[in-house]
Amino acid sequence: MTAFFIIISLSLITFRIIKRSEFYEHRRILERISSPFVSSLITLKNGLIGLTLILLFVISLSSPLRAEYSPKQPSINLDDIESGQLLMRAGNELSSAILLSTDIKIAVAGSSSRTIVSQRFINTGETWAEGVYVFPIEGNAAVDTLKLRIGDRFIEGIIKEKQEAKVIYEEAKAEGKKTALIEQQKPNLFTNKIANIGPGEIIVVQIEFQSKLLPKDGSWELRLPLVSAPRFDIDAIEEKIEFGNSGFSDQSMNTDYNENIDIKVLEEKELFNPVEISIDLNTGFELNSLKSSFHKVDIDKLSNGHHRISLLEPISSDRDFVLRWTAVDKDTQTSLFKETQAGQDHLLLTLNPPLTNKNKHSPDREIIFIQDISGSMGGQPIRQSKIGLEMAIKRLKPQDKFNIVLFNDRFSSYSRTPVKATAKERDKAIRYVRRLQADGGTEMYPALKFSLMNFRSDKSVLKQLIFLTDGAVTEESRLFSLINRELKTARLFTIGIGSAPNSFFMTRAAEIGRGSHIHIGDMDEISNRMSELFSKIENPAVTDLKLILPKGFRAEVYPNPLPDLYVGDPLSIAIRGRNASGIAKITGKIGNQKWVARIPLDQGAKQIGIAKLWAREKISNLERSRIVLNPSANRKAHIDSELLQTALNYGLVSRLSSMVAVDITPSRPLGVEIVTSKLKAAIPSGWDAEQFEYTYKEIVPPMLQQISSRNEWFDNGDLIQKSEMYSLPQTSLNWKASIILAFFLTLLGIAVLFSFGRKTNV
Amino acid sequence: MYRKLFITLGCGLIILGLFGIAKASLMPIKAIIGQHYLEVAWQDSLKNNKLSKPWKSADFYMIGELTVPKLKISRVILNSVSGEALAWSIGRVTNLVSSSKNGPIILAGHRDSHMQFMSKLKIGDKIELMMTDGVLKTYEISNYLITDRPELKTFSNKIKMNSLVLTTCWPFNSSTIGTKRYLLIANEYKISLHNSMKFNL
Repeated sequence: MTAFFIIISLSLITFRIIKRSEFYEHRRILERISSPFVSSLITLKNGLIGLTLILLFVISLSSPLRAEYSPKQPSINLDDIESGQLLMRAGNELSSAILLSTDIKIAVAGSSSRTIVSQRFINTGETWAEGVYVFPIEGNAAVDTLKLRIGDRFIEGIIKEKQEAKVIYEEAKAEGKKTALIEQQKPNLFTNKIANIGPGEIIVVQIEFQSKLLPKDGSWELRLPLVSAPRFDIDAIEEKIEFGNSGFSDQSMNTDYNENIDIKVLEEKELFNPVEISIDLNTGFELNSLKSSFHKVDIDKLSNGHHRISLLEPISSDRDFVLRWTAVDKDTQTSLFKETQAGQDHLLLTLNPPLTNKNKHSPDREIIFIQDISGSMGGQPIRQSKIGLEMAIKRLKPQDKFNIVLFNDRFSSYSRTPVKATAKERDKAIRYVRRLQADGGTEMYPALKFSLMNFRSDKSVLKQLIFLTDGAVTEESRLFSLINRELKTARLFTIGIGSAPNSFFMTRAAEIGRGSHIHIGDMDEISNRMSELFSKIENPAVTDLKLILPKGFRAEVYPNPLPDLYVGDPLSIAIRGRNASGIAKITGKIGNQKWVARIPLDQGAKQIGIAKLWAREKISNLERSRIVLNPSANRKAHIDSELLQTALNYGLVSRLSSMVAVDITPSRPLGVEIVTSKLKAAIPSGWDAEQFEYTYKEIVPPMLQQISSRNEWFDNGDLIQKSEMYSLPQTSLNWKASIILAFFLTLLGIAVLFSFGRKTNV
Repeated sequence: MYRKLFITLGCGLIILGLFGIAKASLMPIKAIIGQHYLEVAWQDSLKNNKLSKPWKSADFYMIGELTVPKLKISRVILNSVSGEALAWSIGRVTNLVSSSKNGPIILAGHRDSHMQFMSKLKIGDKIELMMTDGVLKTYEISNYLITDRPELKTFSNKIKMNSLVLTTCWPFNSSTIGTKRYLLIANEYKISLHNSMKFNL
């Protein structure tokens, strides 16, 4: 018994040793005292540990380990949930019963886009069902319209306070009425639930949202994330997996969103969701190029600045749709649009920094690179980011100062404080970078804290932090408040690598850090994209931006404060006030030079949707200050009420407001008569008749149709194949070969000792 | 004359060899000890009904467990196939094109540690799989495939959307690291809710 416990405790210790004896630690020591004596000592120590482990290995083989061990459970974020799943259960039986099609129409006008998503839900099961559709929207989208057709009824959603909307939905659901609810789960994730879908019933749901388009490096991008799939949930069972209460720590900033994580996705059964997309691209300027990155499209040129794009064939909702275009004339990136609503003028100003001053004067910099060297960075990511770092160091000027901070589950730095980037120091740093190896876990707080407090220069020097990681973030709000507290005059730039990084955190951290964020999904692009970022931030085009409004014009301006303006990365400012007129001035500094831009507010094109964008901008600004400033409970409530008021006034779905639609009469069981009457229903004016019209094929309950119909509509093997691409990893340790090799080395050593080491009397 | 030199050389070689043996044997030890801990942690996370990391600084989560009843083998599945993750257990390969979780479940592991058992599996053998949804699925091996390239682009008719695919390097006892992969394809056979699984409904 005692022996058993000894084995357990020894194993525990060795377990720690394996985890901690990272090469990283040794390397650090080696760099300080690089004597062969020390390194051989370390080798010896390693050997001893190894021998102990071999012994333990033999012991553990003979007695299986049964340790009572409770691992620490860190909090997790929505991003980390690997398989969001929805189960349909009736007793112990599992079944899938859903068919669906999606039609997306986008109208791009100037610097904003309006997206209309129409979906058909068909319940092929024999039970009443609740459908849950999860849809991610990139960027800052304003969701404002919900339309439903159920049978011959047409319902439009209204915006309500979140709890109120939920109560309305739940009550209607319990009474057996048709009802739908759109909620915001996270700033970029929405859910749409539809309750009481009868067996064989079809529902058409239409969601509309407005989003802002900003050119990056002269090119515009429209991205439609199509990855979340809609699923049904049998209404008889209220399923709630409490990821929320346990999985989210109190610190997590997502606590406000966690109540709805009961979305479970049914395992796909040779089913996919066909999507049709059509885009009306009215840029107003001549295009240089226009292409879809992943899908075949048909482009119809109506005029120089007006194109119509549609898919050649329906696609599966497995891969994002991306459309990119560039303008012939580079200057068209500056624009002013406005909309008047409820007596208020709403303006959206897009600014591009002056290109002419680009290379005139680049300021002295103090720059700190924070590099993730945890095990997950191993392979291509670390190789590529080493190249990127090397390039960054080579680009430094002798009067610049720099430091490199490395972290995995511990951290170290190149030097105690930033050093001057002399030729000698640069060479030394490059050698330091080349030696890096990826190993260990991820713990970013201490490294970030050290780096933020590591700056030594005075105000005139530009201070920049480059934070590169591929890890998931577990303590967002703690990191946010750290950045906010310690940032001072520095700027934080974040680089997210791979699919794992919590891009919500990275984006927001860069916002709070008043820098910018890039996400690199393609491993082979890391070094290129890094060098793009480095060359961009060498010349911060305009700093200390301020907007001076004309006298007599009082307005609310977002974002507040204004961030720095970089070449190729325009800034959009949302303004609201009464009677916008006169000339507004934007002032800033380029190096030590003053920069002023004059904007005549009474000019600019009228455009619908700008007011919603302003409201959305205000909401995200409020959200930001709520997180960052870490305000008192009183102040928090104040911010919340302002946020809710804005959302209700402008009819937007937000963290505190949801959109709910209820049918007034309870729905009846489906009969053939009612079904046929659906054909005759008059579609309300202003609604897209094409989307809401049923075909005969659709209204016949699927169970009355031939079973093969499902395949006819949706089975298309090709589509599935196109969206699947896996890279099978390298999977061999080759430890046996290594052991044999090492064994022969030992034998050779012994042989050498015996044959030549003996005293010979010749 | 050269005696001292040879003694040093011999000692050096022995030390180097011992060190090499130690280092190489760390790998299977890590694999075995790690698997014990992951198993305990996974049971714990099932009990608490949430996704969790096996230890705090880990870069991966445990997302399921694979059991081969015939060989009495079980492996905890991680959400990553980075070198670090595969040193501890097997991992799920993600789709490169989209972040969708639909499609076949593809699991990879080292041919000489966690996935060694693949050499003992035949067509018709049963594999049990439980992911975080708590559903115990039984798969039946229906096919095998050896590919020359590590990329799995288009599927033959053999792999379906709900297939389970186990993959490792091929051939098993080779000491060279090649691009060949061995794939076992299993199709759904039975689905049942795990008895010990209690949802917080």
